[in-house]
Amino acid sequence: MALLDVRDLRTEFRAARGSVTAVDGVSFSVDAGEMVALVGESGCGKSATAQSIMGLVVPPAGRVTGGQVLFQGQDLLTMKPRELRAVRGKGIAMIFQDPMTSLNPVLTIGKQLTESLRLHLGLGNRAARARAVELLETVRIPAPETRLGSYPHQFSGGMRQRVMIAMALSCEPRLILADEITTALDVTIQAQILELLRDLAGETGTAVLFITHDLGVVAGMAERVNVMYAGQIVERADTVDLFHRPQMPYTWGLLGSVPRLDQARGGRLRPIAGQPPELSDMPPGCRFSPRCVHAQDVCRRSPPTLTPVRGADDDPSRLTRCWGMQAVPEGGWLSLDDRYADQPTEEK
Amino acid sequence: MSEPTSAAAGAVAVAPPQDRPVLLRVRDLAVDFKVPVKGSLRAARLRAVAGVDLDVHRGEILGVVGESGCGKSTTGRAILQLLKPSEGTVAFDGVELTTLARGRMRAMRRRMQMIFQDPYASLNPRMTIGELIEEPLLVHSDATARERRAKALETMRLVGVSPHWHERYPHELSGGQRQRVGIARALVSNPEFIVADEPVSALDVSIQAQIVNLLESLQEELGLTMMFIGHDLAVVRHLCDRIAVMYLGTVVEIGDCESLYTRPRHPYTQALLSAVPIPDPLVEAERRRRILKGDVPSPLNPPTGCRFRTRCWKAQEICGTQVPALTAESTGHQVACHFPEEPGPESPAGT
Repeated sequence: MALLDVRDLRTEFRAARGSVTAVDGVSFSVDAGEMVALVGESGCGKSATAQSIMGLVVPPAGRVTGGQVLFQGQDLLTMKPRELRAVRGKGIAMIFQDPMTSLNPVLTIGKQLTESLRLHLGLGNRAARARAVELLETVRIPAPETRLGSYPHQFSGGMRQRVMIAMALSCEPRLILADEITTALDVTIQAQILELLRDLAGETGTAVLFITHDLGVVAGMAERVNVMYAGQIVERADTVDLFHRPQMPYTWGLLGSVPRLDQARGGRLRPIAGQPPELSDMPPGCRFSPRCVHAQDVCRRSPPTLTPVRGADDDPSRLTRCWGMQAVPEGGWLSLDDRYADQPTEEK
Repeated sequence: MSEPTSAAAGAVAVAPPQDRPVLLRVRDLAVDFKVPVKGSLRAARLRAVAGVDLDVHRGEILGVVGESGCGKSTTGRAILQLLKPSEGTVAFDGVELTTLARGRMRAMRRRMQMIFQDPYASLNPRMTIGELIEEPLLVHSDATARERRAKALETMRLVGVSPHWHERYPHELSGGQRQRVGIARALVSNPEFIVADEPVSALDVSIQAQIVNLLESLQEELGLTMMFIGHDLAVVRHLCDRIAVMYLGTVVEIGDCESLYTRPRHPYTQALLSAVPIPDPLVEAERRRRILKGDVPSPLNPPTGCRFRTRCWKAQEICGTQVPALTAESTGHQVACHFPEEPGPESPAGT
């Protein structure tokens, strides 16, 4: 049984006129101890997915309107608030992009760290303090005992993110949701934080759902990847497979758009034309079809489903949402042979 | 969204960048900010840029990279005299800008323009796209209304903004389109030199690639000289001819793109390059990272001697007592370090 099993999740947010569906039938799973990525550009619904899992989407701003979020077999969406509180922290912890907004500016780091230890683990004051010092040591903050008395603004961005990781780990959760945790950080600090998270998750066997827009970070961290576009998962694969044998034109486009540090200047980037659709104005067929150079009539007409790729029908872990990879409604296959021409990377 | 077709792609100046004439010469540039001190009425002096030497050659793209607070944006603004330098000289095409009278500086500014990072904040929401693009012409030329409109439409076509946006407002545009308008504003007065301050950092990757390609073809087509300030080292490598690496207000290394990325000499450059993730899991699995300890020190109280020494694994006594000078090698590669890496066939990206 998967540790986290998200099934057909659907989340709507209130908009100027009516509502928009930010998460539209998202299904994926995370096994115990595994590192899984959810990758996509702004507005693709990756953060909304994480917030829905944590029960942070609340009316009137938004509402989870369908699906299941099974954590260790139990549906978080139907749990009572009290049961949910027990899962948060001990079962699932979340780390956000901007630690300054998730830390309370008027409480010391020590106060905030010990609070969750006392609430969730029932530790006494002294034991909580000792554990807090230990946690700050774990996340490699120098002089942890004196640092407990500091306020968040006295920490740098990288140090604050370490504190957030310490808090997330404090109750020994089975799963951490890490939502764009290095996006606000400089690259040398990002390297420190990613190394820390990788080491600690590895040592404790904690699973991580890693949400990011950065394909480089995905390549170095995740074992499996889900690519999101316009509220849906459009491709799923093992990390190596995704980067070296991407199947969905959107994924090729993403990979062709990023310049690589290890490649000398040569040729233009291959951007994706246009921009993602408005959530309130989705194209009727494949949501990527208006930007897809391979799009044909069927793509503009009917929406494809997320299904195993052609030739690997028995592999449920390798999926795409593309008419180029599955039998079209009229029967038969589209010919996308030219797609190999602009496939971004060759396997070494 | 047509990119300007690069008929001139093959016609780029052939001389290597460092052999072309110097358009911009910056020497000993320093910029101070006053910051309030708790419990004191006297402000402290924060030296954001501390003695920068740079040459920008005609027709090249010089990349300036470094992390937040390294002074890269401040350097760009001080060069354009948008911030007053505290010390040093900035000569543009032989004319010293720091002592230029205001009227003459204003005339000079037609030739040097800036592209800003945030396309949401840098466009006046109450002006139409057409007005925004024509505005620099009101300041810098005596063109008639009809001429300005024609020029604005021509520039819109050049940067790939459809003319039917002329009467519309910035909020109707997407981030990528707004950045194109920002670029059009910079280009409409036919400048020779552009400072682009993180022009793609706020954009999603698929849009970022469109703008990077646009800047590349504009530079080729118009023969622009550009200073590209960025923190994404992969984008900078893709776009630039030469790169300057900054740390805590100083330039630690300058070299042509290839040698700087494949044979970095300064320890900070090495660490910076090794920290950049590469979007390829097989490459990532093989990499050995050089992970720096700690954070960048406060510029209010920078380390003595070499400013990087507090995080440097090679630091010795001399690094605390003597500021290493930016020294040129025969290849034109410059490095400010007492113990630079030997130039060898090493690969930097840490693979």
